[in-house]
Amino acid sequence: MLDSAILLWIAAVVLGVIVWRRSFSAFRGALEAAGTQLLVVIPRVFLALLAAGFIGKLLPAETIGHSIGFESGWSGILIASAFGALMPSGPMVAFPIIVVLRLAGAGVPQVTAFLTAWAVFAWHRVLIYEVAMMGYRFAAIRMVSSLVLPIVSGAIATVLCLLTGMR
Amino acid sequence: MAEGDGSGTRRLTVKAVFGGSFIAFAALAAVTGLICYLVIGGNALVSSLESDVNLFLFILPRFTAAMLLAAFAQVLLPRDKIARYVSEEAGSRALTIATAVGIMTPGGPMTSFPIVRALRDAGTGRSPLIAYVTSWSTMGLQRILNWEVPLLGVDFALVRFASSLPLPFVAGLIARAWPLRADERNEKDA
Repeated sequence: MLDSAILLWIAAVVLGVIVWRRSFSAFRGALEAAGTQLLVVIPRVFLALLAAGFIGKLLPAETIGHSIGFESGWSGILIASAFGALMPSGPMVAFPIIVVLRLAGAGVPQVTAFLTAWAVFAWHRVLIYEVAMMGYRFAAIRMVSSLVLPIVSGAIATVLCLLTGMR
Repeated sequence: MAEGDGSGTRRLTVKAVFGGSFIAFAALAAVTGLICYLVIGGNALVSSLESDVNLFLFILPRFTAAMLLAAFAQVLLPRDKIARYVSEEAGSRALTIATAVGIMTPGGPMTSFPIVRALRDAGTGRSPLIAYVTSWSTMGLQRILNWEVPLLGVDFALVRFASSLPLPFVAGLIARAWPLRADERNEKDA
């Protein structure tokens, strides 16, 4: 497996050099923006990981693994899609929960469906940004047009898993 | 975000770091930790803490790099440039461009929805707009690099990304089936 840390640092340094060569003040501004972001997000991520870890201990791992594990197939994809669509949170909460679900045995296609549903239906984001900026009609048409997406992505992920042996 | 003189920035930062949702996250961790202690016992609490700290230390360097990457990307891809790029296209090419640009748009909803609004004002049809939102939300590189790669690994992220590639086209084509309202008729492609 590729080491994601090396990959990310190479990309960050390359983009950083490009920005630096273009304008030093833009470079410094970006560094400050990233620093503030990190200070705000990192303590919250740590706490979210703690909470997700505790919840993971309390959840019945076997039940989860059984209901949305790889072997659960279509029913697992549907269950995961429903939960993903209902989850009202940004990535800071959603991803630690997904880590716990993966450790409890949730399958790649099911987690893919969960993430797709969470991303396209994110109703906190729809209410705060989409309805405010684009109107109800746009948001409604987009969401109805997106109903099949979690199932489509779950199905493709199932095929990819069967080809690659991932579970 | 971090502009102005040094002391002002610092005050802002302290408030931003420990204000608002920090308390909610701390309370959530404390309550779930307490329930864990009461229901399963101290050993479960300690082992959970250990694995959380390990995971956090694993994430930290990746997360830092991803945040820097995102900040630099926002300098290189300003909002108006992105909007101009999508609104120049029409037809099925518009769906492809909207998908590609959605993947690359840095920033959260406070960046992407103003782009969607600007695109609509510039005459972009409903179908590419929906493709853009779908692409940004399911395959946005910033979220993948910030969250998915550090927490779930490169292999998982690759499989999920590949599984999501057709989604903007599916949603965009379904959206075309909806009847247009009178005020949407002048759009290039819907």
